[in-house]
Amino acid sequence: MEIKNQIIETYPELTNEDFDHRFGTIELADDSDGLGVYVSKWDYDKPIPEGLTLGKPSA
Amino acid sequence: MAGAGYKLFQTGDVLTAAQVNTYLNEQTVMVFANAAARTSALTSVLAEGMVSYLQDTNAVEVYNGSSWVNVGNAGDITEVQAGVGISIASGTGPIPVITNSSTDLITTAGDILYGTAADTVARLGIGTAGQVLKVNSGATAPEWGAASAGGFVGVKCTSSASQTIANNTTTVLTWDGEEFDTDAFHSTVTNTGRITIPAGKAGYYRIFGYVNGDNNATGSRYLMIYKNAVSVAESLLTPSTFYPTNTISTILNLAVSDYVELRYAQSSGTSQSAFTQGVYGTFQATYLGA
Repeated sequence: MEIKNQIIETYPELTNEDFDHRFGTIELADDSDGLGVYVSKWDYDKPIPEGLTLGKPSA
Repeated sequence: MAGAGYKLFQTGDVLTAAQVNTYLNEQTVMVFANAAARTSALTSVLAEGMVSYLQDTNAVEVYNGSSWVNVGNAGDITEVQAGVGISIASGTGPIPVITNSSTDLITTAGDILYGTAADTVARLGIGTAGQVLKVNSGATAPEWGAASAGGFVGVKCTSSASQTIANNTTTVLTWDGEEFDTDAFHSTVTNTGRITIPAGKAGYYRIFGYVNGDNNATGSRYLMIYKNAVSVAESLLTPSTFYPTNTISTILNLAVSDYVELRYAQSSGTSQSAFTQGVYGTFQATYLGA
C-alpha cells in the first residue's frame, strides 16, 4: 500500500492540502535513488501511523 | 717624560740629557723586536702616552698609563672575504676590491637571476610580451609562460525523458546527460540528481533550473533547490493549463563535497509529468568565484 494511502486510512480526515509541500503538515519525499517514498516531515498533531517512520529508510 | 709637549729650541740653546729624553726619546714611536724587549727597555721610564711599534706583530701600541693597547680599536675590519656572488681582491688590504660577480651572469636587459641550489644562481632570460612568471611543471624553477585564461567553470545537466512526479511527493529530479561539465560536477551514473562541488572548486555558484509541467491547473507546483538535502530556495507556481513552468535561481556559497539538487512537488491530486527533457528543463551551476 502506498504510504499516503496508509496515512489516509489511519487519519481519514486528512486532505490533499495536508500533504502540500509548503502549507501541509505532512510531506512525502522521493530522492529518486530507488529507495522509494518516505515521510520527510510529520507536523500533524497525531502520531505517525504504526509501521511508518519519519525519515529516509536505509538502503 | 712623555707628555711634555713641544719645545721650540733657539739658536745657542744647550741641549740637556733631560731634554733629549723628554722631547725626543719618550715622544717618538719606539721600535722594539717584541713586547718583552719593550718591557725591559722602558721599565723605569714608562709613562702614559708612549707609543711603540712591535716588529713581531707589526702592532702600533700606546701606553695608557696602565697597559699597552693597540692604537686601532677592537672590531676594526681586518679582512674582507668572498661569498656567493661576491669576489674579493686584496681581502686583507690595504684596500680590498669587492666585485659583485653574480652580475656577470646578466647578459641582456630583462634578465632575472634565481637560485638553482644552495649558494648557486642561474640566469633566466626575459620572456616575450604578455608572458607571466610561472613555476615550471616540475616545480623546480621559474619560467615565463602564457597567462592562464579565466575559463568558464560550470555544468549544465540535461535529461532525455520526462519524469513522473507522484501527487504530494517532493521528488528529486534526475539528469541523465550533460551539455557541458567542466570539472565533473555531475555524474550520469550515480546520484544523477546532484551537482557536487569537486576539490579545488569551493566558492560562490549561481544555481539555476527550470522545468515545464503538465497541462493541469489544479493545486500548486513547487520547484526547489536543495543544498545537502535541505531546501534553500523555492519557487511556487499556481499552474495553468498551458505547460506551467517553474524557474528558480539563487547564489550559494558551496564547499567542496557540498551538493545541490532540484526537487519538484505538485498537489494536483494525481501524478504529473515534469518535462525535464530537451529544451523543457535544465539544471545548471555556474562558478562565480571563491
